[in-house]
Amino acid sequence: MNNDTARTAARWMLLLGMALAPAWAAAAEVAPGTVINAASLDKLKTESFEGKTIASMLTERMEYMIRNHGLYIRLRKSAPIAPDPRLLEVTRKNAANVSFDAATRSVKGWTAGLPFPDVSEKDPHAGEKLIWNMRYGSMMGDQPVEDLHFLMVDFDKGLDRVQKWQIKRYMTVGRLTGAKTFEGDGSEYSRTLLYATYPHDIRGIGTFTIRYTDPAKVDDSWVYVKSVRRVRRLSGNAWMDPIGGTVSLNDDIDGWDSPPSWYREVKLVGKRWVLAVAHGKQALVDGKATPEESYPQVDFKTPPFINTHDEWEPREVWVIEGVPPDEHPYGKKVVYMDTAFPRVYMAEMYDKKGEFWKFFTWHQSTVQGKDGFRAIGPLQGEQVDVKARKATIFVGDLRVNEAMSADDVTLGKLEAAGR
Amino acid sequence: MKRTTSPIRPRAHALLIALALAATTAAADDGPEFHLGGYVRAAASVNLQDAPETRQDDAGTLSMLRGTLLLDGDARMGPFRVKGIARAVREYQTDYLDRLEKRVKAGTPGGPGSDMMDYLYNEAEMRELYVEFDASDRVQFRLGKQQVVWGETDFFRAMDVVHGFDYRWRAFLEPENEELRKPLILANVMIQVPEAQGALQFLFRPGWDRRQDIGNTADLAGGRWRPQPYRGVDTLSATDYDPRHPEGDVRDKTWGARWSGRAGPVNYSLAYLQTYNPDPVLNSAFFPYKKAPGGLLGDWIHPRNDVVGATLSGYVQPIDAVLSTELVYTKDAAFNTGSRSLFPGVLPEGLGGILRRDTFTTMLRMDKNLDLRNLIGTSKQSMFSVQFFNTRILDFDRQDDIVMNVGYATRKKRDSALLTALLGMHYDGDRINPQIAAGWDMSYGGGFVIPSVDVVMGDLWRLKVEADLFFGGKPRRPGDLDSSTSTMGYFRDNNQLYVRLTRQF
Repeated sequence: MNNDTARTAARWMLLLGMALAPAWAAAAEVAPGTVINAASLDKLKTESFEGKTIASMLTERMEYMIRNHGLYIRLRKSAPIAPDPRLLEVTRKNAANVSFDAATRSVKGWTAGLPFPDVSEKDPHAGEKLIWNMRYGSMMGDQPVEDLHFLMVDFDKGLDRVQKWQIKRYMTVGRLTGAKTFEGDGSEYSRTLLYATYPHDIRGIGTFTIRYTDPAKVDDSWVYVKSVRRVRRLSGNAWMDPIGGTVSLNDDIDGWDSPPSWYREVKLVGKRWVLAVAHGKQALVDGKATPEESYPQVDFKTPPFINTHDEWEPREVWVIEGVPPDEHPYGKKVVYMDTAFPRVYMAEMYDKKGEFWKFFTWHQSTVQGKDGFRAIGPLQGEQVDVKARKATIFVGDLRVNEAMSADDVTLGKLEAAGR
Repeated sequence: MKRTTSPIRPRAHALLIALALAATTAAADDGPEFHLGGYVRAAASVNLQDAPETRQDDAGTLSMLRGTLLLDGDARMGPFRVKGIARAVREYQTDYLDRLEKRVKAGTPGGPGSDMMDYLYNEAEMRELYVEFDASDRVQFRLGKQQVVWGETDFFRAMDVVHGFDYRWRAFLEPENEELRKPLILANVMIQVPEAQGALQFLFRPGWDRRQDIGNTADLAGGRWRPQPYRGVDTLSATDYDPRHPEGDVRDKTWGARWSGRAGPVNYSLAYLQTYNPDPVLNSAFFPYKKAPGGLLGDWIHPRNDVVGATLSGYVQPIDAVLSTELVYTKDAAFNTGSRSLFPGVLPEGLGGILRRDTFTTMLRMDKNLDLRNLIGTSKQSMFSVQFFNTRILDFDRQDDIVMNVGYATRKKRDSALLTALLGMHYDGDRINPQIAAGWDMSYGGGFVIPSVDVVMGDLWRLKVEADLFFGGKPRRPGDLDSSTSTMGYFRDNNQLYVRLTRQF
């Protein structure tokens, strides 16, 4: 080889090397089934899944939970999720009539569907609009009977208690079934019955709540106290009370249960990718003897008992931050909502001093009702109180749009349930 | 007095069996569902004070050692839902109760207090057994032995007078008043009227209940909750119960109706009820009331009366509180008269006969959530409730000489008012739940403070520890010839420590 030939070969080698360099430097792609835990986190952070680095899909608090509280995440290949066409159709039809009233931070002209299907990140009210989408978007329709079990878990001891409840929620406005999108005069937003069936000392205890369309009106709520066999009126601030002895507040149902206008401030932090459970598997199996059989997606074996066998996948989310009113237990709440539909996968709650307090996850899943409606809702979720080192795992059997009327969800039915 | 042991009269029994059979027949269509729950419970209480009635020092001795089995069954069979609750109780006769019983046998023998354990404490009964079905989407029937609760009032009762209460084993102190209420055989029809945001309820009592099921039953036989100074004194040795009095016959058919609904942010109810005077009055042998009594001193009766009541309840956002009221007019409430004993030292006061007067009861209450999380570290808001309760005798005349109770010289005032408060707290995700209840008798003096804590231990075990502390209220010591003792004075020298362990299933 003469010098020219050698120089030419060296140049080609250099060019080839330069061409290949980016590929060598890129993160290695990990396979579905890979588990991110405290032992593997540092190694996996620089690697990627479906083209995104693991680090870019973990929030600061997810990392904290993995490193300090035993959270682990098993990856699965992502799959698209499409909301029901009826929701999209009615959203499109009504979009022109809906507006945001900045003075009251509320929605005007909404009848059904998502009030704000196209939210811009630059919109100063983007955060509020996204929460209104969740409140009014009616992703689940009527929920006739949902077995809802709360598993009370201690970080050190594991499963401590199980409470079994039933829930019936009837949507009075924003209806996507039947001839009309609303019933009555449209002033009521929903009616909800929630009552316990186990254990014996709380069996029959329950609440009945009417939520109003007008966000200026607080909920009307009643509790049935079985031991004295009487219904009692509840404070209008019950929306920020804990649900029984669980880690969750009423306001935490589905991530954010109150109108955003009840919060002092709601802002959109931005858009990003996270790992989330978007294809939750059947979480509740009736008639089984052991917790492991009854709740197959709960990991009862691995301390601190806050993990799931459900798998996590990359999802693009809105990050929305809210500052609740002074009477509320939280100083701040951050939720992670899918950008394709208004469902929350994760939330972080901070106390009034700004210290990290709670970490919640929701395992969203698509469930088809008897009327064909494709609902997107949670089958399971972990509600972790890192200060108390306790958690509540909720497990539900989601059913939607089965035969039901507003008269099935009344104060009288609450009393009847308390036999 | 002989106590009937059969819990259900034959006709009622036949009806319930028929209903159960009908339900069973219907079960062929839809698969039956059955649920059985309940609990086994051990409870003990300890005297924190000496009872002056006995020679021994009773402080620190067991006043109660009680075991309870409760079975609570639900069945759904086709269109019928059947509910049954059975309860069996056995108590150990503590040394203290043994002393009281010996005192009864020595001083007032011949009454049921001479066999105190079986009369006052031990029981086995079918407390509730009914069938429920929907005649339409709006009309529900509930037929059988059951409890129906009307009204809003805590601690005391204004419109909650469909049933009497059994106060013999723990006075008014058991917080779950479903355990004290005496169920009745009723036809109970509920008609939902959603257009008017309410429901109409009709009750009909065919008069098939046992003789002891109407009105309140207090300890008159000398047990641990017999008001002082009569512990160890069996009043029933010289008196009897008369469930067949013309003014109050257990076989009478009675009825009631209630409309309950919502009007905007307010819940309200309007009710009418034919019922029995909750507290018994003595048909004195010296001044008989419409029938000559059989007992030596008289017969205890529960005259019938009419009750009309209204309740209102609503959340008031500016003060973040729920305000409630209950207003009840009672026609022909019955009282005993005669504050001076006919033979002081021999006969008790209150043998002057029965007087009927109308009364008006007023309850006002505020429920408010208090945020004590930063102050005392509770895990969520604490429920604070304060309640004013007053009963006024209409057409009151001091010359009527109405007594508070037979056996005491204290005259009843026009108004009898009580103020109560309750603070319920929660720790550790509702695992530890302390509570303080307090009351003050504004008209006659004295009061009570009841601190307690409920501990939740897993799914199955529950522990309750409670102190029952009474203060003020003038006592009447054994041998006193006259007194101004009132309600809180009845409980003097009877402070208790109560411990209850429940294993539920």
